[in-house]
Amino acid sequence: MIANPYTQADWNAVIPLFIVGGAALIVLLADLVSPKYANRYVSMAIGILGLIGGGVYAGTTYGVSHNAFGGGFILGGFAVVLQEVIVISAIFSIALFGAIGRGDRIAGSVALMLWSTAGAMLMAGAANLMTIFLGLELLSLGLYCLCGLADRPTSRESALKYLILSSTASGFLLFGMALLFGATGSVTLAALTTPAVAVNPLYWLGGGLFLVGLAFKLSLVPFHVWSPDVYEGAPLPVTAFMSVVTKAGTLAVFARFAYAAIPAHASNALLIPFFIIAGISMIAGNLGMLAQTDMKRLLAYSGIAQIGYIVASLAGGTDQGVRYAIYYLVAYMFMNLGAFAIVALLSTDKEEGSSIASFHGLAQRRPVLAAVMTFFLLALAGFPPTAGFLGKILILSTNVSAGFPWLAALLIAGTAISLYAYFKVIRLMYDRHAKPQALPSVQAPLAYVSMAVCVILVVVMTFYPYTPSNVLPLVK
Amino acid sequence: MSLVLIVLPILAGCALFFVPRSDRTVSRITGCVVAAITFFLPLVTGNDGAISAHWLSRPFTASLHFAWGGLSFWIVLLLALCTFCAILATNMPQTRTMIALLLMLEGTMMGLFTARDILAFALFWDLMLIPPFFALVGWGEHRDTAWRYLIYNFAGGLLLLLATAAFGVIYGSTDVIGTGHSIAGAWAPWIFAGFAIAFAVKTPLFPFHTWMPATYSDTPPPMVAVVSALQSKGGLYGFLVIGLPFLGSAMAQWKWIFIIASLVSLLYGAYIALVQTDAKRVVAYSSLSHLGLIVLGIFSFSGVAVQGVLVYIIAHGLFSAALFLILGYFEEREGTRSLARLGGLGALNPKLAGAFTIAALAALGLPGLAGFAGELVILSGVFQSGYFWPALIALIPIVLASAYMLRLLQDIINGPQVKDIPERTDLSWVEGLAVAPLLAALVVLGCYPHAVTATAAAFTAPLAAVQPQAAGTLALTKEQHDR
Amino acid sequence: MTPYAPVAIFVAVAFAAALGFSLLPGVLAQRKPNPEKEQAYECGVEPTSSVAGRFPVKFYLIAMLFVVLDVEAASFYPWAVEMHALRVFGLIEMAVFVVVLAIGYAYVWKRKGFEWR
Repeated sequence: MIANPYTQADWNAVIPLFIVGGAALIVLLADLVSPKYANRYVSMAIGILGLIGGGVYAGTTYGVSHNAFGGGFILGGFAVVLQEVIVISAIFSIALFGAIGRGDRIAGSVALMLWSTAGAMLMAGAANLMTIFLGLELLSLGLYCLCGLADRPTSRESALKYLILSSTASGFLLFGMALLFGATGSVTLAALTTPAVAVNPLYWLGGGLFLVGLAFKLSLVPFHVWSPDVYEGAPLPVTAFMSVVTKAGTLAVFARFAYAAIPAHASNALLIPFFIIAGISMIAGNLGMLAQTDMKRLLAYSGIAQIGYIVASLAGGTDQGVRYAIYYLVAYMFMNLGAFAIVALLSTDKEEGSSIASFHGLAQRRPVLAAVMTFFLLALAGFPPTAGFLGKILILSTNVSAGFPWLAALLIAGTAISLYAYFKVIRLMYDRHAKPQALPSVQAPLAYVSMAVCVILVVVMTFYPYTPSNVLPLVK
Repeated sequence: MSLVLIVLPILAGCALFFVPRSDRTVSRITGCVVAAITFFLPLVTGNDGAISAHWLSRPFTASLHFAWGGLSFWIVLLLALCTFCAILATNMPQTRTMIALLLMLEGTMMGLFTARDILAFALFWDLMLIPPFFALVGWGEHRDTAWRYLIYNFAGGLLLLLATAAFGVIYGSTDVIGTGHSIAGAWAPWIFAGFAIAFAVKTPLFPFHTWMPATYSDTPPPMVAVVSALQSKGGLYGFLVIGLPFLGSAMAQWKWIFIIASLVSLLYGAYIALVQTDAKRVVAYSSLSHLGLIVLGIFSFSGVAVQGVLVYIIAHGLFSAALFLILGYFEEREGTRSLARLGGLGALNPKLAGAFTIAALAALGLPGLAGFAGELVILSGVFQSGYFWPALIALIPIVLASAYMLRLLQDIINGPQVKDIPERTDLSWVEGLAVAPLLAALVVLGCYPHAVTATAAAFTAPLAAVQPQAAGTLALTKEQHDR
Repeated sequence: MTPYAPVAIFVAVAFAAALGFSLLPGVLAQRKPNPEKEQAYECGVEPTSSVAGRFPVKFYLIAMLFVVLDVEAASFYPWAVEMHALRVFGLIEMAVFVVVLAIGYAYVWKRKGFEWR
């Protein structure tokens, strides 16, 4: 008998990651053994199957609540929900490769995306500073390469910018972690709540730097400047992936830190500034959308604001705050990925149709696409009957009841601004005087499917607003 | 059953996008049939068509709860009737698309006026902005109108959303329209402020009215008929069913702001209507004035005035829809709305001129037509509840109304004929059928307003809570009525 | 604190001396430049281009592949030290690690990552 140093919980924690990471290896092997390059659908299929496998296995531990690896990884509840969000958005992002990307790069892209997904899944359950950092770097390393994979100068710019700025952010995060460790003598989040730390200046400095690092990764204003440039340059599926997966992973870390790793009397002083920048993001992100001429940049700014809403939901540390943050995150995932699917459908092999000019007069050429794009933009703006509407109601009510009415007011103000930006695109699509443009003939059944699925789910979520109940406590 | 009112028009509207773009017949017939079904359904069903499905249990209870009882009943009928008439009157490039949008507008507004849950109310409040927005995008003359319309109204909608969330958190449930009790406390005035700004934008009330004239003059006639007749009532309906029962004390606390704003709307709207040269804008500003009167009636907290408010809500819907449809006919024939260029059309189109005269007389408050009944009762209610000066000031615009409506009549129908007019057809029977029900309803309601005022009983208790003597006055007028 | 004082003094003196030797000539020395003096000293060669000049990107690829394999090789050391404690399970773990490595290696090879192009 082989001496097994690991418990069942340990295995449960890593097997989903193994499945996803292993699928990436199989993708590479398939590419290797095929005479020239593997068919793009083979790579995509293996990747998606791997993600489904990982997601299903992770799902079996939903009701379980265990600590794996001595408190380094937490199973069940919140972690699983976030992992499913990550897995689903990775599936949707990979589906977009059906429309976009050079054939010889699909296998590598899918493999890198799977590894990044594994990193984000690790972050979703990470409950100690080292696991957090490990997950974050695994997530980021793949993305550095992925950003540079498109054949255009902006893609190189994107990769370099992301590498430099994200490394800087990781530096902040790591320095913060080191100081937190120095102040408390422990790396597990649960141990950071020692009441004595609040008198230690190192703790405040460490906590502050840690949160700055997270704000960077969440691209909250004023740490957001990287995200529009990176989004614009990266290949479309990668942009779609980054817009949800990195955010979901980082939100998981933030939620866990905010809810379970801060001594009660230090909580406000450390977190209120973070909620203030979330509030500023709602305004500034939506203002930033106004001047954009590229759909990916527009969605980047919209993401800045939307993440602000989600973070705002966590203000006050209430039980319902986490649940509504998850609800809005899932809604944001479907709205955003749906919008990206449409951009993919307007693209050709040579050129991505992400320029807003390519939406001009779309209603005449592709009425269904224009209608569905309108739907997603309305959903992002919070129009009924979409999950964006109900999500905003839920966040507003949790803000009001948790004593943060100013966040609710900022949310309203931000949404009012965003309306103009979203409707700018809608009005352009329905412009009667648009000149006819050539239609890209995209054969991307998967993008159509993901678009349809997103529409249905965004509506269904409005009328069946299920929020998972056993997400708390975040650290056990 | 009330779900049918919402879902059927929306589905029919969506389905119309599958008929050919150039189609007229099929879409008109479909539209008319659907509108007729939604009109007769509440009439024949005997009950209030209530339907309810659980929606949210946290952070507050909410249901998808719809019913057409009480005030909703009359507004639902008005909406179905106006939609029917508007669809019948639609005759323009892309008739199919316009009818589809009209049906969607009907469905979403059915949702608004039958909602028994404030969250569902808020949902349809925003949703009903979409069809007019696309009408403005598709047919509007100026690029910015669609924007102004949408941004003003959605900004109001967002405040409604915030107020709904706060209301839900404090009250514990939003499934409350038609039940419940007044809420008080430090939050109440702020929650009311959120609701009130949304309602004031929609109505519109004086400082928030700037989106309205451009929207009304740019929107194609069938759409603007429904929008002016019904969408503006969303705010008034909100004041009546959300404001009075739940936030009555907050309303009473802020009432002078609204009384002054409504008086300014009354005077300002009437004055601007007097000098406008665009026929649609005259009617648009007259709407501002008329709706100001309704707001004044609501904020006098008088049982009598509320009866007048109910009558006038319906009456204004009828005559503004009729006016806009008829102005649409003129515009279609002459290609212009400018009062300077129109003239002398009475001789060429006697039937059209006759219909226009009835609608305009109802708008200026001729006794015997519904407008008069509403105006008189509102004014006497305001006067009775002790607002002497507001009532007196509100009389001025009523005089002005005669002036601008008669000017409109005179400039279009009378006067010297404009040269080089080719021979024109008079009202066709379809066009006539499209306005006849509205005019007939104006006469019927003018002679028999009691059908509508009976629903005022629902507001007795809330009014009594706001102002103790109100219940007394209501009882008194009932006696008078019976005598 | 006290035991470290000599060290601190030593460091401070060394630092001050080095700083002084490099800065003082600029202040004190007489400067009479001529073309001869500007040339490379004794055995130096005339520089032909800037030090930060361009060189082929393929060096980066090789350097990166080397670093990856180097870091992976470094992770063998802790395993080797603890091999007896980890027993068969540790051996299997290491085998998996090597297989993953080998797949990457094969991928680079097949993709002609080692060819000097």
